[in-house]
Amino acid sequence: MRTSRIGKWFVALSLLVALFLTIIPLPSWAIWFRPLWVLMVLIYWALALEDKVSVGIAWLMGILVDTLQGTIFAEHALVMCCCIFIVIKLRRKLRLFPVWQQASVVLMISFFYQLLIYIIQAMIGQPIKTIWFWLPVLTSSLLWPWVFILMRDFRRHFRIT
Amino acid sequence: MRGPKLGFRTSLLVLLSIGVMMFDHRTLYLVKARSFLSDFVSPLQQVINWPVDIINWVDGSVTTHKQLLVENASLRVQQVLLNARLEKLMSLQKENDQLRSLLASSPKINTHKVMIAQVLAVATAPYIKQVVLNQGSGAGVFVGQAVIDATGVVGQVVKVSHFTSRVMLLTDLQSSIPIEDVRTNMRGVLSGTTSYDELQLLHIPNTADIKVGDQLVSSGLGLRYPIGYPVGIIRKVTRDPSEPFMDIVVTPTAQLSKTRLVLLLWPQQQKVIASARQQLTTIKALQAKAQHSVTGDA
Repeated sequence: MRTSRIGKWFVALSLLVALFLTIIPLPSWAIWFRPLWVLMVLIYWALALEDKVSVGIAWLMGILVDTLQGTIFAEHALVMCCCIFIVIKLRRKLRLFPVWQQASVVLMISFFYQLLIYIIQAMIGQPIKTIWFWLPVLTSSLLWPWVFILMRDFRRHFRIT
Repeated sequence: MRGPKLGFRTSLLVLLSIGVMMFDHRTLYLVKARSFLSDFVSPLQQVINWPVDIINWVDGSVTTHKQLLVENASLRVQQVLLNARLEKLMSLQKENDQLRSLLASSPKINTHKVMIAQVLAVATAPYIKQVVLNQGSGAGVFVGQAVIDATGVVGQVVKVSHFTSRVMLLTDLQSSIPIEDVRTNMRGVLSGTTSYDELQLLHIPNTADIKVGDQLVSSGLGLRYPIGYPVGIIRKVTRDPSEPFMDIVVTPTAQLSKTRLVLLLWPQQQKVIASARQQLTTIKALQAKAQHSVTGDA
């Protein structure tokens, strides 16, 4: 099946919104709560669209995240692409899971994501020492059901397949 | 059918990423690419910053006549006070220069050109302490440039693109700044920590004269930061006899996390280098003299 033009624009728009949410300033007590928006949106599209959104797009989004966040080049790209690879590998099972069970898988994937970032940061000599760093793992999985339902409704409304 | 192909693509991208990371970490070849991409995403950052600009604009345009009058009056008072202080500073500077010439050491260099930049209200990864400025190489900003605000040193520029630049704050783990204690003239290196409002003074021996409340200013020895700007105040000193060095916690004087307007400095590089060289030779001469007198006594 071919993705319609609106569909493509909608995918691009959702990724843009995710980028916005990634750099929107938060009050200083809330900075560690920020969920991994780009990863969540990518996971959704990797599950929903058969093979339109795959590791390549994940890699490009990762590069953009690196540029926006000021991290070393290709750090987020590498991590993003590994995570999406796992999601695509598990796609058949994941699509049959109820939403809460998907949320637990998102928990594990975002933990993997943060773990890789943690390792890379340690390897380049900028180790992360605060335990708050792991908070996005929780917030991402807690927000997953809402993101999933919202995106699914949009997708059905625009009939993106 | 897609399985092996997907695995192949992923491993290719992973290898590519590792290569790019090593390149970016070890060399400077990717600076151009990064600067291009930064310009590519800078509209996003500008858009994120709009609400703040709009709020500031609305705030400015709805103030009443009365408020403006009050503000004006207070600014006038402030200006008179600042002028008075400036006069005093000028005479002190003159006196200082004369005294320095008596001591045969070169006068302190004032930085040449200054530009105001706005800190964009854009979040960065919370584990690296950087801020984004709205001025880039288009305005002459360069990597390594010192950035200060009204109260002290903020950090240095680490990445530039045409429209924006990134400043590494003093509190970043990678940041270090050469300083001297105003009270004792002792020199040291002040480094960032994992905490947001703490710096640490490294390798100060247990016997050194350092007190809580001491002011630290930049010494300019690294040729990166200007001489004599306030950097921090000593908050806590812990002496542990079993350790060779003290554990010294310093509070930065600049409002690192709140600051909205900063100053970019263009130093007179040649003069600064010459002055630093001269200072170094004087220090070496003094040290040799001291050494000589010590051995002479023995």
